[in-house]
Amino acid sequence: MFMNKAMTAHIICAVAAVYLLAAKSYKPLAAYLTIYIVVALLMANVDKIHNTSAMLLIVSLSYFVQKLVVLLMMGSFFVRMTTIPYVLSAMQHMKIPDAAAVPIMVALRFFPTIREDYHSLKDSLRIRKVSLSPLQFIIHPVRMVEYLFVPILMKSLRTSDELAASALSRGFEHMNEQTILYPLKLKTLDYLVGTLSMLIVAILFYLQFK
Amino acid sequence: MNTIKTEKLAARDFITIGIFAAISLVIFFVIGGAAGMTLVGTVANVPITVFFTAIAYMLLVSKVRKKGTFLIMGTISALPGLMAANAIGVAASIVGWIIAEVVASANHYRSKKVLIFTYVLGCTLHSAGFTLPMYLSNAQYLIDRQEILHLTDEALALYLQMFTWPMYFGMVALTIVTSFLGAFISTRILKKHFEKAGLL
Repeated sequence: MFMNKAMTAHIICAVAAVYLLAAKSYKPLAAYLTIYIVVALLMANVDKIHNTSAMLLIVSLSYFVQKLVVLLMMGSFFVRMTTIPYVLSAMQHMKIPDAAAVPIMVALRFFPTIREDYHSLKDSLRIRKVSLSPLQFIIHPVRMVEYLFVPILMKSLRTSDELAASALSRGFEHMNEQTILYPLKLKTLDYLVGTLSMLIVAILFYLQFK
Repeated sequence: MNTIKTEKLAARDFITIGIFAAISLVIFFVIGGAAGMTLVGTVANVPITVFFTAIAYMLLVSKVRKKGTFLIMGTISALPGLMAANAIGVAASIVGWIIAEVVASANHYRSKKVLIFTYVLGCTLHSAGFTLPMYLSNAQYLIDRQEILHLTDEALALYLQMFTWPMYFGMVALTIVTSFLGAFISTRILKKHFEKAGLL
């Protein structure tokens, strides 16, 4: 129940890959698939490794990769295929309370921004000859928090103010009185994809728990 | 920007919580993922991650001093547990954050010391609730998965040795220490970089 069976995990990954392919998101698709295949190959041959520590390392890695890669693939698809106004509109239709909908939606949209910020920061730290190796986190955890997290948090604090100002100026606070600019209605294709997805989930359930 | 200060969370607060929840989740995945590569890191995953996520929490609650902030942030941070089908752990963790929220709300998010205490309380209950299912059924959990995980008998014995009740309480106690250290150091860092710059 907790750990995906190999076949179930492969099917989920393949479905996520099809989604990314349909979204023409080739670069993330290649990157995530490569990681997944390398780890799956390692896991398939894990019984040939006689070192217990190395074995546990691969098992842990496989556990994280199986869960995370699919999540990241679907995340990439989500970010590529939709925009915040559409997601908001969908959540409004589903009557999800703001306290749950807005933070989750903003968090989802903010992940790529954190990645961009991190890359810019990494470059500037490299110029100052500051290493971001995992070893540094163990030796100097507080210093690393200051070097890495403080600049990102500083920028995020500004971004949150700017985003809030931008949203408020568009009447974000008066959710109930808003005119929906992006009317959403389920079409034939949506019903088709929905049915197909449910079918895939049913097959995965069968494979996982049979 | 001039806004009317209220006790209730407004749209701009939800945006701020979302942004800091994203940062907290990234820290959780990166640090937790890296730590999870080792056996010690797997067992002490929560105590390690709460030390690093403290800064995102403390900055958020210093900025948004309103009821519900800890609860929403804690709930979003617990949700990745669903990826591992740990629904009971997630539910227990949310209950923990509700209790922490009551403490912070009673103080109206005013005192820094109470905010640190709330973070420690929330993280401790989160650690206790989140990992409980794993310890409750440790033997069965791993024996059931021995085949799926391709674990050898030797590796299984090593894992079983790690998931014992003394270890559970030890990890909860360690969470108290690391979350306190994280929150305490974070408030110092925030004072140095954010308060003095007039950002808080």
